[in-house]
Formats: sequence, structure tokens, C-alpha cells
Amino acid sequence: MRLIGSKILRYAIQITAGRRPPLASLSQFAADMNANLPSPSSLVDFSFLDSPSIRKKYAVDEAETKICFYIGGIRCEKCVRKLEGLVGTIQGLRRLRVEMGKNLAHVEVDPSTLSFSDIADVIERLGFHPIPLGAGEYASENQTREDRSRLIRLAVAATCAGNIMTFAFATYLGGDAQLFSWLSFVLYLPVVTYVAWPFYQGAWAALRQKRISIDLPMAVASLAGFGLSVGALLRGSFDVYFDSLSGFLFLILVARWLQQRMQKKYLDAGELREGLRLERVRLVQGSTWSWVPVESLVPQQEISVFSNETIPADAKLLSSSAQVSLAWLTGESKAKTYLKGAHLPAGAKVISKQIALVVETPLAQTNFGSLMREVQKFSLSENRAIAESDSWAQWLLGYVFLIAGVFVALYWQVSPEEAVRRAFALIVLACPCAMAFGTPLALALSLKRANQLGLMVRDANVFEAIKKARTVFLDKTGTLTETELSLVEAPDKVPAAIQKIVLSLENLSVHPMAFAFRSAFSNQTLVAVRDHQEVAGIGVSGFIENQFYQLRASSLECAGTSCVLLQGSEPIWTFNFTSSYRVGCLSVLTSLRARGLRLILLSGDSPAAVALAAKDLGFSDVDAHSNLTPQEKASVIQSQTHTVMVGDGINDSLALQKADVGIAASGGVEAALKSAGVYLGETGVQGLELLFKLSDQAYSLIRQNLLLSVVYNVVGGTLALLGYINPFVAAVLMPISSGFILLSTWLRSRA
Amino acid sequence: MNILILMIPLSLLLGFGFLFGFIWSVRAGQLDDTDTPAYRILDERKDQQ
Repeated sequence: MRLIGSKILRYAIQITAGRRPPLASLSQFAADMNANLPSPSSLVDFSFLDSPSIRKKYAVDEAETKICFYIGGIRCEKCVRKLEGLVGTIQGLRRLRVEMGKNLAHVEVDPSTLSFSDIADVIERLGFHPIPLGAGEYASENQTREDRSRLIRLAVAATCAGNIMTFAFATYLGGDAQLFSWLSFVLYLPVVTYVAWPFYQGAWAALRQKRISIDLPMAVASLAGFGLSVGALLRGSFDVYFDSLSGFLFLILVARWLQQRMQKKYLDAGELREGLRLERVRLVQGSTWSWVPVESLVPQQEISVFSNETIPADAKLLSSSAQVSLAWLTGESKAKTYLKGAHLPAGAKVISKQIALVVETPLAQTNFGSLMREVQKFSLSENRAIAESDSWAQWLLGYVFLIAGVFVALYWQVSPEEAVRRAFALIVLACPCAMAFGTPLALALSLKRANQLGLMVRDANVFEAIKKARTVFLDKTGTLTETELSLVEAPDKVPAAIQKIVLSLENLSVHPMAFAFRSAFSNQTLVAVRDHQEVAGIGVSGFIENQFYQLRASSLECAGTSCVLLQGSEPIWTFNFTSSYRVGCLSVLTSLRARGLRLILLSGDSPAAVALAAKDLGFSDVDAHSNLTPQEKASVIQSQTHTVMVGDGINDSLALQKADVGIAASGGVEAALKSAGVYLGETGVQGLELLFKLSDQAYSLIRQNLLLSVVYNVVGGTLALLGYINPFVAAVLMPISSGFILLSTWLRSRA
Repeated sequence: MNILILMIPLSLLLGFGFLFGFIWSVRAGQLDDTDTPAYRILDERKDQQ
């Protein structure tokens, strides 16, 4: 009620201040009044954003007036208008700026009239789901500055190169060679210093680590070309390379900029939001409670956790009983019942009603806490796609420099000047573009394609690992099967009277079976139940028309799950439940097998349930493992090489990380991409097949680029050493070949 | 030939004029977000910041 109270106050202030509150939020407000307190699942409570430590964490600036939200689903002009239109209608909202491409909203408030939680509430009410972003989770000022300086460098290169080329053209047409050569020299000065600076930096940093980077030939070309040209100028000859060199550097910068931009757009970590974020917890003090940040919890404090919330610490149960799901920890989807005094692990999700707990171990020291940390650490590690292709390019460059060196040594006797010229031509010509630009571009374009098809792929290395995959591990629950239970029998085979009884008994329950009953018998009416009782882990009971009924879990350990309806003490009906297989599951498995992949089922479920699924889906007995903990799953995977793990983004996170490719089939995109490289999302299991196809395509493209590059380098290199290609021509050929490869990659991956 | 004395400074002035214009627009943040402004312009309300 505190929440609503403060809202009434706020609206009252707005109305008395003569401001018209936004219509949408007013009607929502009325709906809220009717619904009393918002239920935790339908509306997020953002009041935690107002606690001092959380505020400090999320505020962008020192004064704590600015915050940045990630808001999924900003796709149209309407959304932008809705959100930005809030400025002027909400008192205290100074600024709200939407950045559509990145799904961000930058908000600035006047903290004396509007708090972060207020504005988050308003955004939520408009139908968006704002996620506050801490520092480092969105493009920082540093990164913006870097982007800007890259653009400026590009512009300087373009201006200088453009003008130098017009001067060169004038010379060809018989202009004053001396004048234009010196003008070119002047214009080349910013190129050789400012524009080429990142190449020097990159080359030097790599050399210090005893590596040859792709920047080295650019740096050598830029400096040596400058040296040769200045030498020529001083001797009075006008044999200068300023035009081709500046054009060369400009084109390389363009290619890089395009590639980075594309990669950023499709690989941006900005979309990877942690779903496991536990921010706040209700701390019980006497008869009241208040929100406190999870980090502030200490042992012996009493906390209260509501239905559908996650237990934020290892804790002892104070309530008489609790039903919790350990799905995040074990993958077991069935709810488990604990009695008073039991120790509940952090990460367990409460299924039954609100429970009271005493903290034993704060989150940071729990298994769950360390799992979260590990997942987080992993996801922060850099995207390795570029480094990978850089290393491919290295051997080529290494050989080029070696050959150039040997050539100079051998040809020195004939003519030192000619030796240097030809070696220089070779270095300028030799193009590792296929690897350096073609490969990342091919991968980035595959990523784009994957995203269009509804697959979320985090980094481009996934395609390479997929290509190499030998063994695919699959989780059962939530991956091959749905997480919800469903009734085995057709609902119309169950007599209406029994349907009525069952539904009435289960009406208040939040057990998965109750949901299954509700969806199966959806068109039944309810009857009154007297002395209704639900005993967690056992079942429900009550009197209907003076007859005692119980619905209890079947004691038999059988493949699915079942429960039995008793009238008095006599069983009158047995219900069997199953979790159904996901759509297209079998055909995907068949096509993966046809690729010669070995498929292995890894499950935390009981042997019987796993055996049943294995039989249905064609797994042999040795390839179906049951009763595995997350750690055991991870160690099974680590015992193999070239592995792919397909599982739930949350409870399989460890296994997903340990596999060469982790593919999350469920569990929410945020959590999934923290631990997995791929999130199947809306494509479901069928996305697996797509993923394999895409990586085939990407690699045939990369092979084509490599072939082109090898032919170009061998032919061009030989001609250069034989003296048919001078450095001037080489400097023209090199960007042309890069451009050709980029173009062919782009064209082919569009098809 | 003499026309070059006019043409070269003019062409350089033009080129660098555009370059500085571009640098100014980048520094002013005009190229930070290239997606949203296209939609923002459709908003008819005048009281936007």
C-alpha cells in the first residue's frame, strides 16, 4: 500500500500543479487501484532503485540524476514518441532520449520530485520493460569518444587522399610536376602522422609481444613509401607515391570501419543482460519489512521471499513448509517440498506462497553466487573473432617479410635500389585481406543472417566451432521437452464430474500439475470446496458435497509423473502427466545425426524419465545420461573434444560454458547469452539445424576468400619480385583486391 | 597556369571546409545515433527539447 499511497500523492501533486497526467498511466493507475497490490509477476516493483547503494550503482553521473535503461522492443516511431513524449507530462523528468539502434533510453530526472523508480514504473506501465544498466553495460563515454575519433580520422584520410589524387591526376595530364609533388607532400603529412597513427600503434604493440600484426605492412608501407618519396623529391625526381599511399590507407581504414561497424551492430554485448540479477530482498524487522540490497544481507537476518521470487542466500526455512523449484540449480523442473528448519540453497525459486527464511550464507559465498560470477566473468571476456583471423593472417605476413628480406639480400649485388623497390612492392601488394577483413565480414554477415532468422548468436567464433563439432550434448527438460506438464489422457475421456472435482480442489494451487489441469479442463465450472487443504509435496484435499476427496501424488516412481484422485480412501481416477516434446524436435535430431554427429542426452531427471525420452528420440542407452548435477554435466562435456551443448540457459549455464559451443534453448535471452554463445529463442530446437547450415555457408565463403587471396598473393608477389609491378601499382592493386574480396563476400552472403 | 594560384587554394579551402564541418558534426554528437532521429522527426509536437 505504501507504493500506491505514494502514487496517489504524486498524481495529486500533478493535478494540483495544473499538469495533465498522461492518460495511459491514469487508466493504468485506476486498474492498479482495483487490483490492490500489483502481483510480482505482472508488474515489476522498481522501488529497489531508490536505495542509496543501488542508486549509486546505476546513476550515470555523480549527482545521481541520470540513468540509462535498456528497453527491448523499441522498433517503431510510435515507441520513440511514446517514450520521449513523457518529457513535459511527467513532473521532474528533465530529459528522456531514446537510442533506437541500441534499445537504450537515457533518462535525466530532477531527484527532488522524481526518483529513478518512479520513471521506471512509468516506462513499465507504457508496456516496456526497462532494465537499469550499470556503468560499463552500455557504450561508455570512452567508447563514444573512440567511435568519434575513428570517424574523424576517416574524414581526414578522405580529404587528404582525395586532394592528393586530384593533384596526381593533374601531373598525369601534364601539370607542373614539381608544384603538385610538393603539394602532395604537404597533404601527405597529416596522413603519415595522424591517419596512420593507429597502424603504428598496433604494429608496435604486436612487435613488443613478438607477434606480427596485420598493422605492420600498413605501417611499413606508410613510412617506407614516405621515405622513398621524400628521397625522390629531394633528389629532384617526382617519382612519388603519396597518392597511392594515401588512397591505400584511406581504403584500409574504410574497410576496417565497415567491418567494425558491422560487427558492433550484430555482436554488441549491449543486448546481453543478465537475467539472474538479484537486486533486492525483503528484510523483516519485527512486524514490518523493507527492501534492502541483496549485498547488504548478513547471516541471521530474517528475510521474506514471495512466490515466483528467487532465494537470494543460503537460508534456513522458518515457515512450516515451502515448495521451491531448483530448476536454476539442478534443471529438475518438479517442485520440491521443504519443511521448517530445512536449508534452502540460494538460487531456488519459491513456488508456494510467501516464506520466511533466516540467512545463513550471503549470496557472494554461495554456490549460486559463484556460478553467477563465473558466468559473468566469461561473458565479459572479449570477442575473439578478430584475434582469431588476425592469427591466420600472421603466417602470411611472416612469410612475406621473410621473402622480402631474402630477396633484398640476394638482389643487393645486382642493384640495391631495385632490390628495395621490389621488396617494397611485394610488402605493399601482399594482402592478408581475405583473412583480416574477409573472414570477419563473412562471419559478421552470417551473424546478421542468424539474427534475421531469430537466432541470437553472441560471437562469430560460434560458426567455426560449429563447423568443427563432433559431439552434440542435449539437455532434456526445457530443451527437447517443454517445461510445463501436460495431461497424457485426452481431457474429454475424463468424466465431467471428475473434471469438476479435480479443478475445484486444485483451484488455488500453483503446482505444475494444477496448471496442467487448468489448461486441460479449461471449460469446466467450479464447485464449492469445504475444508480445503493443500499439503505441499503430498497433494490437496477437501469436502465436496459432503464427500471427502483427495488428489495426491502417486507414490510409484514411474516414467512421467502421475497423481491419483481418491474418494474417501478409494482411488477413483489416475492422471498421468508428461512434458511434451518440442515442435520439430525429432526431425532436427535426425538431420543432425545425418551430419555424422554423435548426439548425447544429458539430464538431471530420473533414469526412468530419461529412458523414456531416449527411446522416443532414438538415443542409444550409452548416450543417455540421467541424474546428472550441473557439475557432472560439465565434466562429461569436458571429457570430449569439439563439443556442442544444447541446454537451458540458466541451470545448464556451467555446461554451456564448458562446451566449445553453448546453445541455450530456453531460460530467457539475457541469462542465456551470459553463458551460451547462441540463444535459439523463437526458432526453438529447429534453430539448431539453421545454425549448422549458416556455419556451412559462412565457411564456404571463407574458403572462397582464402583461395582468391592465395592466388592473388602468389601471382602478384611473383610479378612484384620479377619487377613487373612497381610499388605504385602495388599500392593500387592492394586496396582493389581488398575491395574485391569485401564486395564478393557481401554479395554472396546476401544471396 | 596562373589560374592555378586561385584554383588550388580554392579547392583546398572547399575540401578542408567540408572536413571541418564534418569534424564539428561528429564532435557535436550528430553521428552517435543514426537510427532514432529519422523517427523523431515524425513527431509533430513542438515542445520537444
